[in-house]
Amino acid sequence: MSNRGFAPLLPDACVGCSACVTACPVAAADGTFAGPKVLGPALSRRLPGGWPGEPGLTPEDAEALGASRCLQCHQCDLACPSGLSVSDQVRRAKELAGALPRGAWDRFTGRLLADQERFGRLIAATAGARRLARWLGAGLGHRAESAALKALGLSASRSVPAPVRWNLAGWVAATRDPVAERRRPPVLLYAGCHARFYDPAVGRAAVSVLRRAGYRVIVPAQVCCGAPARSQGVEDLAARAAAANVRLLSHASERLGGDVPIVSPCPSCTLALRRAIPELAPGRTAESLAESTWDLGEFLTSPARPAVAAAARRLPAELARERWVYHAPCHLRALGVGRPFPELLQTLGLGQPLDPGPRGDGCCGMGGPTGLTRDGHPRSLADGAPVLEVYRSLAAEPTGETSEHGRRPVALSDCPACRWQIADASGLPTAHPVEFLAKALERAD
Amino acid sequence: MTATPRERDYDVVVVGAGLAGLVAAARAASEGARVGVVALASGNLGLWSGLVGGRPAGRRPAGTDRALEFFLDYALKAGLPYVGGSPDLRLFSPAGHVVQAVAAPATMAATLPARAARRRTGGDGRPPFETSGAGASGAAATAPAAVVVGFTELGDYPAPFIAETAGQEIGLRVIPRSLSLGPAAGRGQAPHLARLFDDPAWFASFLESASRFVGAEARSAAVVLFPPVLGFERFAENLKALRDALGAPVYELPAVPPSVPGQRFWRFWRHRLEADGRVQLHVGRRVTATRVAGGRCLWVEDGVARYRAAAYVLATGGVAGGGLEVDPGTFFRLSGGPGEGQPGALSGSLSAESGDEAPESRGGPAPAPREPLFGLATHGKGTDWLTWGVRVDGEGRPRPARPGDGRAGSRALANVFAAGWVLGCGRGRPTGAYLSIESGHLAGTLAAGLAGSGPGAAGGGARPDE
Repeated sequence: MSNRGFAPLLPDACVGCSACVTACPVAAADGTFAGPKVLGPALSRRLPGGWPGEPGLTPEDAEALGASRCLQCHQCDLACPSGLSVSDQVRRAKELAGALPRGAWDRFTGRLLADQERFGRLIAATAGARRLARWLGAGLGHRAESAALKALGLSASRSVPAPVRWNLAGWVAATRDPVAERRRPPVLLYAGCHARFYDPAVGRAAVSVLRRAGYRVIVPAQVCCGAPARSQGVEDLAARAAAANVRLLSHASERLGGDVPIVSPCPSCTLALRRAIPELAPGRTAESLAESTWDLGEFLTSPARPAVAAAARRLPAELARERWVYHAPCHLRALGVGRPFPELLQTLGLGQPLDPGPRGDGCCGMGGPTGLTRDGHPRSLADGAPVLEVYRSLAAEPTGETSEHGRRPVALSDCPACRWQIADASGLPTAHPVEFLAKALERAD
Repeated sequence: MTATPRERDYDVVVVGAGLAGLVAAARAASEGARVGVVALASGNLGLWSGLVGGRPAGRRPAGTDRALEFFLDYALKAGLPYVGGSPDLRLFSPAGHVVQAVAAPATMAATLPARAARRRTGGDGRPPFETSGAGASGAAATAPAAVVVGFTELGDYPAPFIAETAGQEIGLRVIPRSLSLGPAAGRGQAPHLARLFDDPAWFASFLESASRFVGAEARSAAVVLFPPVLGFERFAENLKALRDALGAPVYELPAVPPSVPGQRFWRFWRHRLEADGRVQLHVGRRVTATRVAGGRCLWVEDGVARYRAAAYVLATGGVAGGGLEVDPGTFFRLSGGPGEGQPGALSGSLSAESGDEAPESRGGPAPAPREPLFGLATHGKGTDWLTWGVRVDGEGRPRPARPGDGRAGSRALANVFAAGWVLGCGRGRPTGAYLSIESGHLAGTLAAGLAGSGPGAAGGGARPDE
């Protein structure tokens, strides 16, 4: 049976070669982390559902081995010569460690952060209060925000997204051209929580590029993909999100004739739709949704490529001078789609790519919302230290008109968490590559 | 309405991202081809010590080994310099034995003290490293030829054992020295130690204690050997600092997995391939089907996407090493002797759907019956599975399997080139890393040539389809 191209769970195929350990960003950064080999295949017989008769692993054991440190970046899966899904096994250990008794408030905040749908709504609901506090005084607004973040177990030194004033789905509906779009092939945009709650500009850029490539873009009703919940080991929330998305997306697809491509600018959402959701909500519907799901870059460089190339025929010359540096997110690597955006930008001659070097080409350490928490923030900086050091040095290069380089480079990455981490750690401007592309295409008109 | 097909077009598709696959991809890309690499993982690079061995004696006259020259050039470009060519290097193996290597990472390319040198130096029977000391004969008698440094936290690296073997091998005094890296070493896993060495602040403190601890004896030793964990990225700077501090030639020794040098190779080559923009790596994808018709490969598929190219490189790893799936029952029969050469032995990951180019049936009810795609040949008399590989013609093109036909008569696939361990090895043939480099280079060259993307036809970047 096809496993949709992803690795199976067959722990006995592990030969103990440790290739996963050398690929693990956390094992490299944290000497106390037992690493994917031990937490995955080696202990899998002692995890729930493991071999009968084996002594079960206790939550305390799992915690002592550092199970909760796993970022679910999936780089171990890509390293395994036996093709094992090591990260799925480590996730079970992480789930076990998550069962350790905790205080009621900690449990509440833990679940809140894992549930990006609720968390995002909370951020959106407090937008008015945050604006008011900022209006009353920058100091007051900052103090109030810090206090709120601390109470939620979040790092107060993280930048908080500015309150969003508009809604992506509303904007898409308001700006569509019903007459021109009637004959165009439809595409469902799975925008992801980040574009829906924090930064709709990424979603708008995706819509702009897809429309120029001749597609009719629909933003269907959707909930969080469940990836943050699953990677924190909160499986029930992830399963609930999966079931809801299967219902919502299949309904939207069927109304348009079925098998409509679902495109997402977020590689973590794409990975969840393709890989996790068919596991959490098994069935033919989820399988067919998984088959219809595309990474935005993959979609633009594959079926939409001729249209994108045609739309990019008259690009403004000034963009050719803009420098960018691309950071490949772990979950994009896990999708196995290559690195579509940098290839597309280079082919179109858009801007000048900078090479971060092998040192800057790894995991940024953020690990999704994990890096936002009070404990997770410093750890994320340690896990991503080599990469962040490269971006800091890029930011420290001389800037301004007098410099031979001109303006500061923009850090491009498909993943909102990576952008957040790079921006916080280096101060470089960041963008989704589709924003860069959209800007170019809009100016080409 | 069916789902939009997920298809990628390349000039060359390489299946496999181990050493052979990466060399083939680098070679094809340097010839101007757009390359897609589809691979389950990074092959055995995580197990690889980094040494290149396996070139049969007298195989290439000095200076004309194009594959090796390309490898050395590209490694330099990737930021991971290798030393090699001619003559072969003499190096210690992870167990302390002396081995011949065609090339080695620059961090490992030590000149080993040798007894031959002693004979050249003088007739007093004493090794040169003991006589050429500070001149004080009392101290010279105890000066070691080599110091093998181990870290107490790195349990997989038994310095005393390595030193003992090494000393017996070269007939000179080799001494072990054990250093503790302190609490920062944690569980002492090699990757974590490598990351520690990448931290300049930590390394500064290490350097101080290391020069104090091994200093006096190291200064009189011909070579000081460290475990190969001196950083994922800063290994060159760290080695230089250690050489300056100890006043002796310092090198890394190869080690057993988890191998930091193998991981370095994967990181640096992957980065170089991707940064050049001509190569897309699809890693974590298991090739599950292919279509062969009219003596050509039409596409390969990984259960999600279909990859089309003008030419394909089969760099999937050893026949029995997981590269090509072998039906266990058949494999045991195969290695048992009788029935060897039976082309029906291969099945699985690279078997073809039977029938001609038919309407696509992805997601259909029942998969088409699968037939073995390649014939097998052995390069040795025994039953050693390492000698088994796909049957190829003179240019490395696999010959298809014909059930019941074990002879090498059938026509080879016109646009497929095999590279690396999938070819098998045998007496007088290249083996190991050299096999991967030589055959990967040849396959990359021929595949790019077939794709019409030689230097003259390079064009400009990826073509935006019509």
